[in-house]
Amino acid sequence: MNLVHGEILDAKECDNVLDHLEQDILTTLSKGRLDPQLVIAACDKVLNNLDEADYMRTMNELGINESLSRSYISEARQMFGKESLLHRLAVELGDTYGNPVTFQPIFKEFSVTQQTLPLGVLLHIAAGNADGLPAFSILEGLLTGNINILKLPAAEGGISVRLLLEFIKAEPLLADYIYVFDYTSKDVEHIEKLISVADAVVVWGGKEAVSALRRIIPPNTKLIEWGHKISFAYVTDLGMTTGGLEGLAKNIVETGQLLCSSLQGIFLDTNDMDKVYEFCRRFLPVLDQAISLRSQDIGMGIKSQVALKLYAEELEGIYSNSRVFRGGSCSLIAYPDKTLDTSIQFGNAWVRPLPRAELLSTLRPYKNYLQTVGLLCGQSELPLLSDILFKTGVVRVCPGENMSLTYCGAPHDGEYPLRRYTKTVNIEQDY
Amino acid sequence: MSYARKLFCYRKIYDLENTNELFLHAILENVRHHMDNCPEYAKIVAHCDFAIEEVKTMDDLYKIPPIPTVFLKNHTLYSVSPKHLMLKSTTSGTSGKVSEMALDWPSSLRGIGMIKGMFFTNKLISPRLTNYVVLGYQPARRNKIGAVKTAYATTYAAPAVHRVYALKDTGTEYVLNIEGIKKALIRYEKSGLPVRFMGFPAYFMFLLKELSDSGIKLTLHPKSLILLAGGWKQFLAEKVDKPTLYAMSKEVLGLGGDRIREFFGAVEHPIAYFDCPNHHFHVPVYSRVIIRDVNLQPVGYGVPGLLNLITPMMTSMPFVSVMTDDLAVLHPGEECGCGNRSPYFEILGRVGLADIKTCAANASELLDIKKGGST
Repeated sequence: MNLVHGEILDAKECDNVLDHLEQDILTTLSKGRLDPQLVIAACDKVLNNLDEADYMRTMNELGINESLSRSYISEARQMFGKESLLHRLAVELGDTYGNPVTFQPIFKEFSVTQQTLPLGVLLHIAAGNADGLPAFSILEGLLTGNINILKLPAAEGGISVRLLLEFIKAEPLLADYIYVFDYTSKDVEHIEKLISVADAVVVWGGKEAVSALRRIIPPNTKLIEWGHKISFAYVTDLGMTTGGLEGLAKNIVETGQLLCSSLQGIFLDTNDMDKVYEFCRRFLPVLDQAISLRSQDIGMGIKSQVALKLYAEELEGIYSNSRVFRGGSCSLIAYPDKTLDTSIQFGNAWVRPLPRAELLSTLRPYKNYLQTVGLLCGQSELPLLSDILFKTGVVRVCPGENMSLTYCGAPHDGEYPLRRYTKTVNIEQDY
Repeated sequence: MSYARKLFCYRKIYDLENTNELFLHAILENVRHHMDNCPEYAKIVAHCDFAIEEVKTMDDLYKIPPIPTVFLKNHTLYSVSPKHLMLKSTTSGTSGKVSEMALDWPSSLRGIGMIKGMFFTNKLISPRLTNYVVLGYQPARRNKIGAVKTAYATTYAAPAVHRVYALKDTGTEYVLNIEGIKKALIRYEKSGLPVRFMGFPAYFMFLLKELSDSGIKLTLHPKSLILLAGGWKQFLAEKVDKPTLYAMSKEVLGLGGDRIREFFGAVEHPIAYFDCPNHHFHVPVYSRVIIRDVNLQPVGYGVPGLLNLITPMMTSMPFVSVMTDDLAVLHPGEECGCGNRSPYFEILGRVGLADIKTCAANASELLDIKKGGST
């Protein structure tokens, strides 16, 4: 689906739009700036008029169960409410956003007026890995006053365009700041055209998507990457409490291990494989219990994949002392190596030994992929261990059950998104 | 003569009923051979608590531990010493990992027996002089991809006058040879001899588009044949719309759907499956197909599950029972309607979800780091 100036267009009409896109953008830029208050008010209006039942139905069609849908909606109400958005602007952009600050630089005889302004035009290359994520990316672009062009991901169910139409309905002025195009990622010719009008390209997705774009984005066009990340747990003897383990199980079960903040596996602060096996025997019933409380709606394709991978892992046992511990609809695989990798997911995690003395050297090669660590340790160990983890590249340390929870104003992958979508400019004048 | 050799010489290639006993003997002989000669295979079956005495009838075939193809991509297992290996093949490695396969002399003989049986039964052997268009690599010593060899080997099914390759070997690299093919085809039309095309469906579609764009329209000899091959994976990923393909072929080459035959096989299970006139893949006497549920237990006709392929063809490697990462369903032969009573199977897709919604970094990204590659 293509959306331009609040209207749904077909492919041919889009070609016409593309022919005068540059001119179109100049027209919008020459108007006044987009006031964040307008965007916040529009958001508030959309939330107030939200047809919950309708969204619940749509989510149900996407295979998201009722309780999860409810929690998504209540989370969305919090995240996109006026209070939250104002808080984000204040935290992420500071006081200077919309308020120029004038000062005299030290050692200099002139005055400087500095302010934070939108980058201009953002091209969002969204990934299809989270429903509605493309609309969320656009909202962040709007909040910072940018004109936003969205290239839809292939597997978009239409939720994003629908949300954006509601925004435009709530505030018709937004129509000029939102373009959505449905070109495929292979359509380099059209994508290059979109890149040519953008100040920055915001890309969500895995290595392949990012590498492909890097090849076609000209130097000096800003590339803002939100790449795929990996998260895990680190458990010490002191941290091995029932409550802590239940927290880890909760994250595994609630996220299906599909998020960049989801637990893929658990490193234990030991070098002793017997301790790793012992941990598996202790944690498996906890995980089993958590899974049995929440039935997973996974299809046959996934179930077969899990069955096949687990079976293959069992056969791997003839080469090393890796061992598969099977629960009802979950498993733990104990490996003797110190590799960080993606788990089989859907309730199947790995467990590996990694003494704290080897944390830094083992994890450092993965620095650009690390995100969250669910850290189970004693209070006295927290400062030292979290410091080592941050040196490896990790950006967030929290209890297991919080790994995939966020809060208003939280940095994303170690950065403030709104800040990345703005620039700091200054005017210098003689005194 | 071994049971397997007898089986692969059997000429009624879809007569499963009368070869059940022979097949069972051949399988037991093959399992014993691998247990005795491949220590890893012996370990695997022991790990699965398998004892060969458990297999008493054809209904017990499922008890033989199937080896997942994902496992074979990590480990290359041999049941003969390297000096007995002749033909080597690898998968084209679309997923990054590569499976290796090599044949020794007994496996090759069986393979030849199978090819003969398949080609005769499917009326692919012809004494007529034929021109060939191979939509793939020109064979070269350095190229080990299985599909290259299959494509080249099939050019012997009818005496070759001339062969033209889509990817031509310049000695140091391969170059796309579309112009060469165009010229050759125009010449082939004039020569009045049948033409055989060999390649993957997507390549054939590409060729048709190229010809059509250049305004080339041919009427090739009516006995010409288009043989489309592929492993399961390519076959599925391409999503070539068959009716469109047939219609284009009729228009550009003068050869309709009745001159197009498809066949495929996998490196880990080198049995060639040809499609019947209803485009179904029936199981020949050389193999058996078991569909398994998520507990790896066998299921009956009409129930989708994991595809497990069984054959006693290989003595060089323990590929006696392999489990692919495809989901499939088995149908009784009678359901097809082509007259072939042997069961046929339909591939439903790969396990997992193609568009699985995850933002967790995936295994291949992290594997690069593990290997010390760039991040």
